[in-house]
Parts: sequence; C-alpha cells; structure tokens
Amino acid sequence: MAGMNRLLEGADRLRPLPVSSARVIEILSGDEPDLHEVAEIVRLDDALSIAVLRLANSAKFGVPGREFNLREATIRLGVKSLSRIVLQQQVSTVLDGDVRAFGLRRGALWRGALGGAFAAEKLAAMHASEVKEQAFVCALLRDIGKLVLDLKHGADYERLVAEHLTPNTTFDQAERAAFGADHAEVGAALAEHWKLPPEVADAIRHHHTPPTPDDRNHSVLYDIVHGADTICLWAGLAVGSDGLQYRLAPHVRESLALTRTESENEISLMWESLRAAEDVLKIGHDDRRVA
Amino acid sequence: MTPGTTTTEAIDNTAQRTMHVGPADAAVSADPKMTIETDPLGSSIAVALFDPVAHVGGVLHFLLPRSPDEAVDNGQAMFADTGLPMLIERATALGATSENLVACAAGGAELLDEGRQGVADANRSMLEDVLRQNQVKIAAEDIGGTACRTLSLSISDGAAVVRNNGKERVLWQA
Repeated sequence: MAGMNRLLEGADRLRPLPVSSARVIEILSGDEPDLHEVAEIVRLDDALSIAVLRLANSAKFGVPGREFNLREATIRLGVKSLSRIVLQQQVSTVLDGDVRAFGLRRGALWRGALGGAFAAEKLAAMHASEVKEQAFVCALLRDIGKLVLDLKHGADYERLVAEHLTPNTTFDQAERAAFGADHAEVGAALAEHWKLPPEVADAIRHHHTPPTPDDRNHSVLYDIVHGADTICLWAGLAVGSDGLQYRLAPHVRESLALTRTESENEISLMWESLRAAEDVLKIGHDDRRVA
Repeated sequence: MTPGTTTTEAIDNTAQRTMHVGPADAAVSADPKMTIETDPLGSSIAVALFDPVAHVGGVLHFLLPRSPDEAVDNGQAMFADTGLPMLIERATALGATSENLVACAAGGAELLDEGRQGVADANRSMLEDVLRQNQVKIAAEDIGGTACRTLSLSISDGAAVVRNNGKERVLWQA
C-alpha cells in the first residue's frame, strides 16, 4: 500500500491540454459564461474530466461515488469552482516546465484517451445504451495510470519497464516488476483514492482483461471499455511502448460483434469524432504539410 | 520548449529536423536535413515514397483501405485509396516524378483474429492495388505479424528505417 501511495504522489498535477484550459478560462471570463459550452470542452479533456468528477464526487457537492455524468457535474459545480479548477491546473502546468516534451507524449495520450471514449460511447449506443455515459467516462480514464507513471517518471518510464522486459514477460508484468503495480492497477487505485464511482475503478482495472460471462465480476461496461481500447490499438492510437501485446477477449469479440467491417466502421467514426474535438479545441490538423 | 533549444536551432543551419506523422496524417519534404517519422503503427500502414533523383519524399500513415462515398477533404490521409494518390501528388508538386518514386511500407499488424482477414490484410491489399495503378514499385516492406513498429524516412539519402523494440532495420536506401 505504501508503494502504491508513492506511485500516486503527484497525480494531482495531471495537466489538461493548454488549449482546453485556455478555452475554458476564456468562456468563464465572459459576461454570461455558457456552462454547456464549458461542459463540452471538459468532456474532451481527460485531466479536466478527472478534476470535475473528483469535485463533483466530494461530500461538498453531493454523494461521493455517485456522479458519472460530466455534463451535469460541470453545470452543477458552477463558474466559481470551475474557474478554480482550471486556474490551479494551469499553474501546475507552468511550474512543471518542459512543455515541448510534455506536449508530444501528452498529445498522444490524449488522443488515445478520447478516441477510446468515443469508441466506447458508440459501442454502448449499439449494445447497452443504459451505460453510454459510464462507458465514455471509464474509457476516457482507462489509461490514467499510464499518465500518472509518465508524469512521475517522464522519459525514464519506458526505460525502467524495458529493464524488466524479457521474451517471456508481458509489459504489465514488467511494469509490476519496475513499479510494484501495472498501469491498470495504478489507475484503479487512483480512481478509488479520488472516490470516483466504483465502476470507474473496476473498468480501469479490467480494461485489458475483462472478466468472462461465467465470472461473477463480469459486466457489459467492462466489455465495452475493453473493446474500445482494442479498437484504439487497431487504429494506431494509444500504441505505447507496450506495443500490440493486448488481444481482444474472445467473449467481447462475439458479444460486440467486432467483425472486420464493424471494426473499420468504428475506426472511421472514432476519427470523425476526434477531428471534431480538435476543431472544438482549435487544435490544427494539416495532413498536407510540406517542409 | 526550452529557451536554449530555440536559439541553437535558429543559428545552426546544419541541424537535422524531424517531422512527426501521426495516424491519418501525411507530410512531404524536399529538405535534405529533414527526417519524417511516424508514431507507432497498429493495423494501420505507413508508406514512405522517395524520388532518389529529385531527393523528394513523403510519408503517409493511413488507417483504413477505402474511403466512404462522402469522404471529407481533410480526411484523405485516413484511407489508402485517397491518401496514396494525395501523397504522390504532393511529392510530384515538389519535383518528384512518378516513374522515379520508390515505396517502402511498414505496419499492418494483424490484431483482430488470427486466421480471419482483418483490417490489416485489407489495408495491405489496397496499398498494393493503388501503388500498382500509379505505377509505383514497392522496394521493401515490413508488414504483418504482431509487432509494433515505427517508420522513418530520411530525405538526404532516402533511408527508410523500421524501429521495433529499440532495434533498427534499414528497409531501403538510395
């Protein structure tokens, strides 16, 4: 437990994308801030989403461990609390320095997180619409453990894991050897530490290894988050130093009917949503670059 | 960006530069100091085109074989059937000629289900079809399997390099 606590140290400094916090500040500084517009931006940023969910799940704002809905949570917190969240995070971004190195890694992690959230939302709409919002949030936060380890160890993260990788070791085994826990366990512990709904912690814990239907812990929510994570890998998103070692669980492939045609469709829809999110955040994309 | 880095790059005309190509992305260059490098590849495929006479090259990282009917203008790089012609056109605009262009490809890891045709196989088939239609030869490739790779192209000598688990392999060089 002491080891896990050490891993979680500094997780409060998880940084939003500079463009999203700047946009939120711009809206909140206006005469009549539109909180619906703020909520849409919060949903597109994993770090901002965590900050909003943490506060919304605190005793001050409601019943801890109940709030899933990012749109409702954002509006309930109000202008003052939202301003405080964003400003605190901006300060820590500045204090951390090394913005360029951060930007390269953080941008890739953000696309993987949000791409998975969009894929999970689409899968839930088709197979279990009652968990659509939960699926979005859980998939958005599924690799939060990676973000914490990356934040704590920076460029050394991959080197420390590589020291324990052998032909007979998986990436998560090497993570456990290096840090005492793998990124799924770190993410789940963080969600519990922040008192997010228990389904979030469990979905993060199981996102590479969802329980099978004969397991009493089986949940369609975990299946969807796992399926969305795998779709991201197929699409080349969220492919980190752990490479392509993760496989789609057979029971998830069957239950979500992830055939080739369906996979292509999911990848295409996910990218459409990502491009729209980049437009909202005014992140330029130019596939016609010449240099 | 640290202040020191900016100054060094500004005054050093010999400095090598790197351009990153993410998923559904493409870039071309005629700058001999430029290296174009992809993010890690899943079932998607990266293609490096190089004209060894004009020293012009480009890299495309596409995700899917064919575009839907209503393909959007800024989404061409996502698909092989629209991204490859775009890459050839952009390289040609910088002085490359299609008969001189050579292609190297990497990626296409099969993740769906061993034994069934998945996205990676479809990507590979479309890559071969489109390059054949445009009379561009594939000089070398590292496609298939389950490895996670990156592909880079150096404009100075056309070296197409695949990196996998810290190991480098030169696929082709002018």
